[in-house]
Amino acid sequence: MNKEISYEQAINRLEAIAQQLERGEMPIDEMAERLREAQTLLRQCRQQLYKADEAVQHILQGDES
Amino acid sequence: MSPLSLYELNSLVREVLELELPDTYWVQGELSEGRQGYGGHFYGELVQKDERNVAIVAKARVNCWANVYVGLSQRFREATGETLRAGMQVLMEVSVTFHQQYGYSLNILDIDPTFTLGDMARRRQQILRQLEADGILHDNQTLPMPLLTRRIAIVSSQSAAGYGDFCDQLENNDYGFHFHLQLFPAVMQGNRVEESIIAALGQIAEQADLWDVVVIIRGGGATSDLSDFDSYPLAACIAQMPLPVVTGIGHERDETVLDYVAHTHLKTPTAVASFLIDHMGEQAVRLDDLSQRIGHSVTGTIAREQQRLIRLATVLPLAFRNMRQQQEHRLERLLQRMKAAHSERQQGEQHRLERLLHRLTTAYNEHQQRERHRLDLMEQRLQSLDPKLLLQRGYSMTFGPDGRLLRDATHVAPGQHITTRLENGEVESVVNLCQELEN
Repeated sequence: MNKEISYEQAINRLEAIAQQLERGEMPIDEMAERLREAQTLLRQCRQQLYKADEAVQHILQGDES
Repeated sequence: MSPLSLYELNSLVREVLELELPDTYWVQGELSEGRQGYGGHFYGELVQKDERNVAIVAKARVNCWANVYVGLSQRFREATGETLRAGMQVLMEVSVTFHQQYGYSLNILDIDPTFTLGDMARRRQQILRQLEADGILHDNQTLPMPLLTRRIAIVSSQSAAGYGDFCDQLENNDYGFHFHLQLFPAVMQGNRVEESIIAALGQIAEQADLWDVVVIIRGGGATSDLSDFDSYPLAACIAQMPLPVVTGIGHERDETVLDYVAHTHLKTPTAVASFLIDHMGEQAVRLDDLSQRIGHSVTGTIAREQQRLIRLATVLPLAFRNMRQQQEHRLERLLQRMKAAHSERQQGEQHRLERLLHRLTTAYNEHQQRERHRLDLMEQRLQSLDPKLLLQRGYSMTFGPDGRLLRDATHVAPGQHITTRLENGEVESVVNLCQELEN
């Protein structure tokens, strides 16, 4: 992940994309790009939700020692 | 009077007391000491303090025999969630006793738990009012709970009941979430609860950006002493934590001041773990939902667009054909109009030409007639002027030497040759005399 955006920002962005799609406000030309963005964001969010965050682990361990 | 032995004197005191105070009495005071000793008997000390709650103005030893204490302490615990201990305000039924060896003491026969409960509630209310007055009572509750609660700072004791279960529950959650847990050890029972939890919270607050949420947990159920948590400094500290605090200090019946100030309060460590897992679970559901919504929308849009294309593919040629036909008709009509206009015009022109021709013919004929007539007249006039006629009538014409018609006798000199033309032939003459005739 190059873009370091927070989970909250990511999920808000996803909501916006979903709503735009649902309201049929998304130009067809943009759809592929938005879909790619949504997939990246979903992956990022799921990672934050399920995967061990090495950076966090590192900080916590460093803090303990 | 011979002196009494101490035993005799104490026996006297005992007799008097037992005689004078034979009943049982309800007495209220603060337990300043209390412990269960050998054989299950309870020993303690009851005090009364002055109005400012500082100096002790009365004091008495109290005890309760094991056979009474078993039932009494159980009822007390059931009602208050507490064991009898130092610092409690109590209302007890006692009998006054005096023992030659141990002296004055009160024997506990019964205890009224509602009095203690009332006192605890009063203390709690007092702390809450103070927090309210300081404007910090709801500070922690107004903090937003982060969407992800995966970095959890735990305030508990390694040995506290429920701590191990709490960690197990989080680490083995059904969703497979990965929580980052760290224990900030604190004493969870006894009189060091306040300072030790405050110290742990302080440590967490210093590195608040590393954590999503703080939990304060302790198992234990009804036997725990909750009043240790009813502390103003501790409550104020929790209220002002920069992170949301979730409590689960293992009590079923009552709430402590902590529960009023914490962001979220739950009964047990297990409940806290479930809460945190469910909170993350909501996010998992939300992500799945978003993913589905986006997927459906996209496939829906694509399907709609395909339909549109198919419809356009059928409709367009038709529309095109219609349009072409319309245009053809229009051109046809235009052509017809043009033709009609043209032939109308042509007819008009033809008429005009015919009329012109007619006029021209008429004019020409008239002109011809007129000219012919004029010519006739001129011919007549010319004929009348023809010199031949004059010559025929006997006149003649004379030409001078220069060949020109001679009209004046002075235009010729004697000796010159002149020619005279007659009706038939010419006469050459020589001039003898030139004479002007006088009229």
